[in-house]
Amino acid sequence: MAKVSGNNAPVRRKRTANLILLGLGILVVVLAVLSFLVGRYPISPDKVVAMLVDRIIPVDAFWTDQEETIFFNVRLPRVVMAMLVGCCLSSAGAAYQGTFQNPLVSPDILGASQGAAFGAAVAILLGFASFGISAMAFVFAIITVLLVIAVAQAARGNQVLTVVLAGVMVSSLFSAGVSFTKLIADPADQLPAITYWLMGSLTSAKPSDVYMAFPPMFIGLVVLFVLRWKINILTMGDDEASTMGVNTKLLRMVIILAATLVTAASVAVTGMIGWVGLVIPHLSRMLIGSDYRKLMPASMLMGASFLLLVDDVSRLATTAEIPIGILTAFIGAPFFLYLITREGRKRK
Amino acid sequence: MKKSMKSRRLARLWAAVVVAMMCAVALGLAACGGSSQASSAASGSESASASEAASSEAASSEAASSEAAESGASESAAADAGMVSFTDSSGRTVEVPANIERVAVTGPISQMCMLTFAPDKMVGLSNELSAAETKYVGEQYASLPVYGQIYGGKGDFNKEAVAAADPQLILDIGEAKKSIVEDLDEIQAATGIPCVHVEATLGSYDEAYTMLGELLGQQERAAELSEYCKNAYNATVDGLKKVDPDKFVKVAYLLGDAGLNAIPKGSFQGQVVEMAANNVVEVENATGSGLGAEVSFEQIAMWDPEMIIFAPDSIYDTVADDPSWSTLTAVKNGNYYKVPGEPYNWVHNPPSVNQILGMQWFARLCYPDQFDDNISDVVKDYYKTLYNYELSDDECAELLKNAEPNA
Amino acid sequence: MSVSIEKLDFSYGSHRVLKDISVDVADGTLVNVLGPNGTGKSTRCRCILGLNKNYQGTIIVNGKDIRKLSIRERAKEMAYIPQSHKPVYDYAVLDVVLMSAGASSGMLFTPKQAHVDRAYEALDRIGIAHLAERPYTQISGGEQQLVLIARALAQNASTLIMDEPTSALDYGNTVRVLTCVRQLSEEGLTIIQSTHQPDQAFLYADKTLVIHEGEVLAYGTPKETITEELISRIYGVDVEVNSLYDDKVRVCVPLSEVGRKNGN
Repeated sequence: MAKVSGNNAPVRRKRTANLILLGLGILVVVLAVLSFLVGRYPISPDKVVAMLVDRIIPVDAFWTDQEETIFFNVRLPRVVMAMLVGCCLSSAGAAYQGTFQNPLVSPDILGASQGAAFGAAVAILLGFASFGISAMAFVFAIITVLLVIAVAQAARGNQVLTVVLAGVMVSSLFSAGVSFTKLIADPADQLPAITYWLMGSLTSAKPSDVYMAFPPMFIGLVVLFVLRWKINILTMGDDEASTMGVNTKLLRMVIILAATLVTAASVAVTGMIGWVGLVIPHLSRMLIGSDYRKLMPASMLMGASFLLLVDDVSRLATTAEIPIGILTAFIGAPFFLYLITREGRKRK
Repeated sequence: MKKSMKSRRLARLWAAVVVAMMCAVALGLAACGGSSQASSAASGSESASASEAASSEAASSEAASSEAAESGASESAAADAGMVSFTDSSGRTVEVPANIERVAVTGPISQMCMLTFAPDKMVGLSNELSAAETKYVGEQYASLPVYGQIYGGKGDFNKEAVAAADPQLILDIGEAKKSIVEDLDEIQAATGIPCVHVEATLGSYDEAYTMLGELLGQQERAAELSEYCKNAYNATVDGLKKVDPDKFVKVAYLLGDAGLNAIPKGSFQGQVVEMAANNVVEVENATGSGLGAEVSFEQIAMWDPEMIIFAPDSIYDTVADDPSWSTLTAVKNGNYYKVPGEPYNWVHNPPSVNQILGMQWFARLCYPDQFDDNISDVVKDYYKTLYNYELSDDECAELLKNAEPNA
Repeated sequence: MSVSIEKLDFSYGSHRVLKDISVDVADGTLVNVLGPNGTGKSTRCRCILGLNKNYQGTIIVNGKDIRKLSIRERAKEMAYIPQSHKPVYDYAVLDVVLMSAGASSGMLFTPKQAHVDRAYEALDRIGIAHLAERPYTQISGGEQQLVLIARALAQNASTLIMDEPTSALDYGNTVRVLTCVRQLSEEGLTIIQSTHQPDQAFLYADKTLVIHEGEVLAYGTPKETITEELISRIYGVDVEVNSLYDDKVRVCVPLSEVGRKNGN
């Protein structure tokens, strides 16, 4: 009896969760379509639709060449990039929050962003072009995290604690490195370029950026998606997880590497965009619960929607661009304060 | 058991190594500090008080500065010409030595002006000289000590280093910041060295040089530069008078490694462009940042300027092959150019005396028919007058590569 | 089919925590491990579970040397029931029990309907199926402990290791949890649980293992093992062991309090 009535409940819960996920999916699609239609350069919706259809079935062109290039080379890659980066940062944040059993962790925890910033700053100092800057940022982000892992491996004791501590230390090391590059940078052009890079921006997203960033992002996202249920077990702590048959060391390493891959790829092409990876997993948790089987896809979808929306504001609000990192911080920080006070009230 | 003892011993060893390293670094610093002090004392004009300052290595900044002040005072006493009262462009009245031989600059603008006017009086640099700058102003100034700038950049003006270089005057040139009076008063109080601000804008470099002449002597050189700036400005204005301002060319000045940073209309950096053209980059908050405002490509396409000029290290070389950029009118018509970058950016960065050249160049680029001289001659004349450097035809052509009007 | 520990020796750095421990636990036995704090109860727990690997000696569970088992194989032989604790994230009770499926699967696995059914069976067996959809953090401490027991059952291991399962519980919950443990042992599971309470050993154990200063002090039935002399030796307090209900139960009473009552 209990069994029968009980078995219906998870079905209902599952159905609600699936509905929420479906809703989030629809939201992403709607926002993406809206983002295709709006921009500083007016391209009418019928032309957008016709141009898109034209790529599959040829349509008689009633749009100008300029409209077509702007749509496919400027607007489309930017919208795609916003979705990808939002998706990556949120899922990486969710994954880190699980593996480190700490809801206040963000994708920067192991120094990927600071490493990337250092790589980019050095590239700017060396006078590299945008491809070189991205590549250096990506490589340094990966190197930083590998360094953190190596340090943590060498240390004994609580693995979670040593990894996080090593992350904080290595991160501050690279942040000092960034400050140093700023110090020796030419204040006329290199310094503002570094400062601008640190603010994060999707403005110059090109099709080639998307092609370059997509493979590592895709690999990382697939790994995080496939492993999402195991993250549940990791959140119970290493001892418990390991007696439940989980190789915690290996699992944590794989998750960290996957999350680092997506974070590094995102940061490399867009610069530092903070708060997304911290706030979105929280919002998703409030919406759909802590079970990573639902939380991971929810974070991915919500992150994509969020960054799309913020980027639309960033490119439409004023004639000049508002750096997206500033906008996410403006939205993220107050929300985070709200979360903290809410948590406090719940404890009481 | 053994392992733990070993690890504890290892930890102690590490701690010892770290402490030892810190000691070594500290010693090294002390040695370097001493030697640099010594060398500055050796190169300094007055010895007794300077070496005294050098010996008090660990003294606080006030002590150092008061000693420097003393040395300044004794020096002026030695010069036996007394102090004179000087009212600068910001309205501050400052007691300055009558004969000034040693000057510290506060930033790239005053540095570039001084390099054209009286480089031998400079005791140091606010910014390291680039290779291009050294080529025109002379090797000997590249080795001067660098002590940072007051405004912009990193705000890293090192007062102790300035005081140690023992100047008689700290010189600020450029457009006055709102806080200029307090800022200079503060530096003067901290270093005990008189600080002076000389206003210089695109149309007032002649007055600036005249004022420098009053302050530092060398009236002859001052008059020469002042006259050059005045004539250059007036000739440009006269040429432009023949163009109907409503028919000014619509232009965008773009920078950055994606070409998506634009100098906005109405900003300090846009002066040269806006003198001769209609800057299409109208944004809500025109900031005076050296990197302009970031704009989207869609926005640039909306403005669709007739002419585009790219900063020296921006994307001039690649726009023709870029599918998006090549759809713009200016790029399609080949009406886009690269701002010359030697000795430093002619148009805006830093907005120093090179703008006098930039202004002449840009007006002739936009309306070659309104001027009877050609760009090369103007450029050669500028380098001769300001840097005393004879440009060869090849050098001139190299400078103006991608920056001459299409035939 | 049992747990057999031979010459187990373990040190944290220079501190030798376990000294030459040899114990055999027969199949289906409920063993109560008694000893004051810091005598190595938890360390021994961790050694058996394979969480502390640098031990000397051998530990054989169900005929298999756990040193040679992989993490997953180990999880199939025995399950661990920690003290109930507040997890960082809030899961539904069912999801907590489902985590037991971690042992039965590879890296890329997510639970299927069969695992959900097994989780329900486990909850049902403990009698808390009605809690399945409740958030784990909102049920009582005793219920949380029962959920963890259900999770261990769903893991399908024949040996359960419990580390002071009732130390944070109130009296009612303690009784409920221990009754449940007793029941499971009668159903054939081998259970080793550590505890602070000698009284609990009399009620809820087949055998009592006393560890003192890292050594086995005594091992046998509770009545043989727990004597006034032993309690005085390991805890440093004088007690009187009293027999109740025709010696079905025994209790320890601190002598100092008995004396005071008499004096009044």
